[in-house]
Amino acid sequence: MSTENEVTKKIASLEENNDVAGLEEMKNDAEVSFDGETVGLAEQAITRLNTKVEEITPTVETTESQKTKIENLDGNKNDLQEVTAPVDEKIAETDIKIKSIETETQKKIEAVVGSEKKLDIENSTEIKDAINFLDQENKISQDLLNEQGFQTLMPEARKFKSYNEHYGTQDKESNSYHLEERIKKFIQLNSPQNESEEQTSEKEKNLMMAVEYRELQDHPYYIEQYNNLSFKDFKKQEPEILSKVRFFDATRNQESRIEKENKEEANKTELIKKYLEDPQTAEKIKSGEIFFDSNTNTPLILEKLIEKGAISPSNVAESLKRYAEEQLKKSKSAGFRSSMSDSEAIQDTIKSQLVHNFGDQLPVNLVKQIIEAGNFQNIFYNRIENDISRHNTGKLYKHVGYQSNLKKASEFITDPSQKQKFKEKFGQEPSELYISEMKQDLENAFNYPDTKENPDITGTFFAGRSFSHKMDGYFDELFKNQIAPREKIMEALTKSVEALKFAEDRKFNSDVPDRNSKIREVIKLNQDGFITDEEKSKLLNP
Amino acid sequence: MTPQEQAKKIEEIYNEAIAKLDVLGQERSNLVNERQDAIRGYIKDLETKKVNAIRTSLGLSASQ
Repeated sequence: MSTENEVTKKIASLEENNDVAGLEEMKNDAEVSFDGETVGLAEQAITRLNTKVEEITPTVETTESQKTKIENLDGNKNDLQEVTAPVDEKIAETDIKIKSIETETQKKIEAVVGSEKKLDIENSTEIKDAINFLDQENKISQDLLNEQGFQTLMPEARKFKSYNEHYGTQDKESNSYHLEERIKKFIQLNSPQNESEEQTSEKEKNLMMAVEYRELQDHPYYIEQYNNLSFKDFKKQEPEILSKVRFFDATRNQESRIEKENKEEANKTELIKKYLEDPQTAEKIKSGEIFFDSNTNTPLILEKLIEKGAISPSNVAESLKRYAEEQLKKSKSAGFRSSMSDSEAIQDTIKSQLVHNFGDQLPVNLVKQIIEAGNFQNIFYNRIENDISRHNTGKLYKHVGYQSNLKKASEFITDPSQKQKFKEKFGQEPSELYISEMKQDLENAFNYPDTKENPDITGTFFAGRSFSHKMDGYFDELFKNQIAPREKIMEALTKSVEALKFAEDRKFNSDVPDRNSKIREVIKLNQDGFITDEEKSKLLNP
Repeated sequence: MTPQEQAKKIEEIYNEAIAKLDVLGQERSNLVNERQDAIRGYIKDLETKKVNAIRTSLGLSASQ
């Protein structure tokens, strides 16, 4: 790569000779060579980073000699597992942090290399408009960014802000980074070639401050403390003002959050009181008139009313059915279309309420009584069967070599011969529900960036997600209430863990926290006595 | 951003990440050592138990 000075000299000489062709050629060469070198540099940095991560995360294992020693001393593999489990968990957590730094850094580096392209896209629209506008006003090459020119600049500064919100990410740091880049590009495009670096840099700084200044005009703290402060004076005090404003925002956000939470809590308590004092509440629950109020703690009200003998678990079960029916009606009238049949949708709502809402807040024996009273055991059982079958469907897609695209996937799903293959393998044809859910899974699969690059990642993972994304405590509830045969629950749990391992191996970052929480869930299931040491060990070390 | 600025930015991002990885790598290494200590402790316990069992079977008192 030529140095900047050499490039500048050459440009000056070509300009002097009015050598347009030479300038054009140089521009093209420069673009190719610079781009290539920067991309190469980015690749090198990413490779070095990956190597570093590999170096610091070697596999942690008990050595063969230690294992032999333990065996000779009549030690037990499970006991050893118990000894190492707490530290293994910490190591796993550290590894997750390391992996996340690796992924984040990679993205940041890639963003730097890709930023030119992105800016060109933006440049083609609003930035070009902005340049035209400023050219017309003939301000940019003048001292536009001084106080006098400030009013003229503001509409443009506002536009920068809106690009930032539109194109930037949610990450504030990266937002301001993009904003800075856009401003730099804008100034570069509008600066005369003979302008010194210092002058350009001063303009960039001024525009950045102008954007900040404009934004602060609506800020309550700023209005109170610095109202009518001129841009010139603002520039002098900028770091101090920004720091104070940020501190104000941080404090205000925290205060308003606490205030909101307290208010919600007070409302909830008030509602619970109201429900419990109202002699009609029990009757209203029995008749299905009221069942679930998202503003209050329904399980707690139900528990209290059952305790008082005002309602029975059977009333709750009936009410729950009515509630689920009501929800379905509401969804339909709101125009939501579900891939489930009506009865499946009702069952799904009941299951979800029992597992995620009641399961978290009601005593287990009460949940069990409601399940028995409503004969909901089958709902859980069917759902598990359904999930397992979806998982198998995913495996089958891989098995038959389906690796192509969504169109082929849709054809495959509806192809009668494939349905027959499925039947031969699993003893039943895939139901409409499985098919529609698999379609959804596959659509998701193809929207996943990793999948686009690695088409061999098929339904296996996405069907497995039907387990992996269950909330914490799902399996606990299944075991506690013996809702399905134990081996079915174990099968579902195993697949859930497998799916997350699959995700982790492929660096699907969004699933890593789930994997971590699943490891904790397995450890807890073992502590609670639902799974044996051997099962735990098998799940954690497949 | 000019290529030089890109290069500088990449270097900055890279260095920042390496610094964080160094800290986490050290933490992990300490944890791996902690794990080794736990295994050694477990083996030591087993050895003591075994020695005591042998001593008891020979009619000797168990060592501490």
